[in-house]
Formats: sequence, structure tokens, C-alpha cells
Amino acid sequence: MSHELRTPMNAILGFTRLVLRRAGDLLPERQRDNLVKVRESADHLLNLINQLLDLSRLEAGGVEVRPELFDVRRFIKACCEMVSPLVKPGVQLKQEISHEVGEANTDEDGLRHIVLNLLGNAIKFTDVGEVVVHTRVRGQGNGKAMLVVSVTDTGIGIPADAIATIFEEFQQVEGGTQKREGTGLGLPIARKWAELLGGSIAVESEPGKGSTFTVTLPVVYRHQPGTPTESVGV
Amino acid sequence: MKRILIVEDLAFNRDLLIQLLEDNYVVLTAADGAEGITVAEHELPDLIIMDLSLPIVDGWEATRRIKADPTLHHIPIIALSSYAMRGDEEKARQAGCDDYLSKPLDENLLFSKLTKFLGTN
Repeated sequence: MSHELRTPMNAILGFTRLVLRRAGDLLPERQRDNLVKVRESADHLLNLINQLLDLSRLEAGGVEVRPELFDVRRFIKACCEMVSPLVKPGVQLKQEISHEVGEANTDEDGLRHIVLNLLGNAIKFTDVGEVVVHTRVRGQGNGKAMLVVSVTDTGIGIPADAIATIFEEFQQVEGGTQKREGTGLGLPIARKWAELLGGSIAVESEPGKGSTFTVTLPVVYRHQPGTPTESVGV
Repeated sequence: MKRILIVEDLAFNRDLLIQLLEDNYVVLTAADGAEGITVAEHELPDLIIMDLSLPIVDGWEATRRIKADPTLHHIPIIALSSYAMRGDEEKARQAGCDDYLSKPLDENLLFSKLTKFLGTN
């Protein structure tokens, strides 16, 4: 089914981009704008299709967990670099990595889905202030530990009555003055991944003040000795 | 001009690639993996863009056969996948693909990869 859905979307997107690329300058401005709207809508729909397919595969147990040992510090830095172009001018993106964080053994792709989603949301809903990603490891011993990554923002926050539903499909919370672009599937996918990796995602929020999303995953863990706690802005 | 073979079963997608490439390259096409191998043998293109899900012989198998042929194995193959499924890129590289692109095609990325393998036109 995935192929059948994506193929025509890819054609719509590909040919729209081609016309814009080849003839965009020849079109009257309004007609070029119209074509840009086609492209943006097609982008959005393809995103939605991809996320729906991801979610249904996760729900059907069709995703195999592949744990591997990787450097968590480098991983978090790479995630922050990926999202940094999305950060608004009045907002600072900061990383805080506790000294004990070293290498961990979990599914890197899965964790990347989760962290990028939480970071993306925090950035999307924060117009001023900061987004802080804090990484730490809890309960060391026998090489088993919990990896805890929290993303705290000073964004619009989530009303108490809406917190229960934000992990459900298509439940973007109305808040602030503008509608924010999104598929409404990011958090459900992030939660599914967290569950698949044996962990969970928790949220605390206060409307108007901001939100903190915390993912906690069991990992086999290797301490990185001699590395001080880092706190850097990006 | 350098010659590029597009192996892609869907006429729409072939057409899109042809239009992107025809100004700067000679474009050859094949509509399935078996035809792709035949055209590669006869035409010895400078590069192959290989869709992965193809009829008759799929893109992975066609790549393996081309890379196993001493007269063809030097030809760079860029795999094209309709979606970055988990493990797709790894599977493509294991089959012998030199590079990998997922659809929807990012034209600029495609051009930069072509330049990497073929130099500037």
C-alpha cells in the first residue's frame, strides 16, 4: 500500500518542482504563487502519508528494534544541529549534557525520531525565550541505566485538559494566536517509538510558561570518564 | 556529453528524470531490471540511476548482476528508493550501489551526486 500512496504524490511533487524550476520566472507572479501553494500542499500531504505509514507500521509491530552502541553526546549535538535552522530569531537552543553521559546501547534511529520530534515541537511552539535539551543517565550499576532526555521550552504551553490527548492522533492543541503547521502525528509516533524501546514519554506544562517533554529509555550504558558537564548554546 | 541510464518502471518518473537531465546528459532508459542490464551491456553508460522496486528483475538484483560483470562493474550506480524505509539504503549499498537517493527526488542533491561521479559538464 505504501508504494501506491507515495508514487503519485512523488509525481505531483516532482513535476510541480520541475515547472517551478524551469518556468517559474516566466509565470505571472500570482500563478507562480499558486504553483508554490500546490507544492507546499503536496509536501504536507506526503509528510502526512509518510507519518501515517510509519505509525501504522509501528502499531502493527512491523518495526524491528536494532540496538547498537553509540555516542550519546555526539548524537544529541547532531540532533540540535539538524533542527537549529528552524529556531526563531528570538529563541536560543541550548544543550545541557551531564558529565556521566557516554555511550548507550539502544536503537539510534528510534531515539532520533523521538528527540527530533520533541525538539521540533518545542521550536515550533516557542516564539521567544529558549529551548533546552537536557541529557542525563540515571541509576548506573551493572551497566544498566535509564537514559533521560528532556526538552524544555518557554513556548505557549498546553492546557491541563488537553495534556491527556496530545499523544493521540490529530490532536494539535489550539493555543496562542496562530495555527502551527504540523501533521498531528509526531507525538503519537514518538510515543510508539519510546514504548517499542521499553521506555516512556512524560509531559509537564503550564499554559503561557512552557512545556517539558521527558523521554526515559532503559539502556545498556558505558560511562565516558573524565568528561565535564557541558552547557552550550547552539 | 556523459551518458546516463535511467532504470525506472514508471513512465511518469522516467519522464521527470529525463526532463531534469536531458539538457546536460545523454539519457538512456530501461523500464525493468532485466532491460536495464541489457541496455547497460550494449551501451556502457557512464552512470546508472536505478529504481529499486522494479518488475522482472528488481533493482537490487540488477545492481548485483551489473557489479558482478567485469565489463560493467566500474559504472557508478545511484539507487533510487520511493521511500527511505529502514534498512533500504543499507540493502542498496550491500547490493553494490555506489550512492543512494530517496524520492521525492531532491534535484540539487541529484545534481551534486552526478557531479561527484561524472565531474562537471
